[in-house]
Amino acid sequence: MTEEKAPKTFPELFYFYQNRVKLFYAAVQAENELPTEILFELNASLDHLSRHYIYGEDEAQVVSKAFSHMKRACLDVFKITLRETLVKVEELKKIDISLIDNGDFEPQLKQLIHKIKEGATEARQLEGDTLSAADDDEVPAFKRWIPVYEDCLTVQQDFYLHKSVDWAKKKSKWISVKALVISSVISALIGAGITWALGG
Amino acid sequence: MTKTLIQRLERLTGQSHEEISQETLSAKRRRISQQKGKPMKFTRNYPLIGRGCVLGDNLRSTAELNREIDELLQLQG
Repeated sequence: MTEEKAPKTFPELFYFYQNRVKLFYAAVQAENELPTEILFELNASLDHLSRHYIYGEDEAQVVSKAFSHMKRACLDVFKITLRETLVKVEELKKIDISLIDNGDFEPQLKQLIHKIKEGATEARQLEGDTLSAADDDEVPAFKRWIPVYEDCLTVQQDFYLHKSVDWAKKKSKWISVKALVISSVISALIGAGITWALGG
Repeated sequence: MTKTLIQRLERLTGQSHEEISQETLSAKRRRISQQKGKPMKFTRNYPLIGRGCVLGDNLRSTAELNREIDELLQLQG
């Protein structure tokens, strides 16, 4: 089964849970933090599943409802990751990354950020458009978010954690210290000049 | 979902796809809390995510709840 094919039975739904939801959940939990909103979606899934056994609701119907909540839990993971990625990008913008990888690093990063923003905008617009869903239970934005999420992880792993970023940070810090020293010396010289001119 | 994405998730979590799937959520929580040396924290990200969070900003840890229950039951002090 792939995510393109909606599950109709419990085994198909649990396959999706074990091979998709749990992977994204693990990625968030790796930070030792759990967003409550994700837990609410998973609780809602469990509630729908229980209704098959307690109230005799149709298996395909509860599976469909639970599936949509699971996908929304994934969407939450994607959005949190996008936010974290953009924060990391802002950190990278504060340092001189122009020389990394013979100058290739910066344009490649910019290109990827552009792609992420475009993809995320498209996914968000689709999310807001309930008319494009075949019914209320569908989450059409899910498929659009997947490549955006992958690109976010690429930025975090290949760019933010790039081995030369530490070197660039040190270099930027050294340039700041040098600028501070030079401006202090110039201020002191100007101050001394003024004092001398005033005949002190 | 692409193979590359799975590999990136494996790199991020430090576990294989199989290991992530096999480990129970409570075992995962215990293991990561031990690794980080502090209990897992719940966060609230509304309105970035979620569809109306009733909890507001008053998220409370298990330790805080236990402390209050112990006080109510006069198990402390």
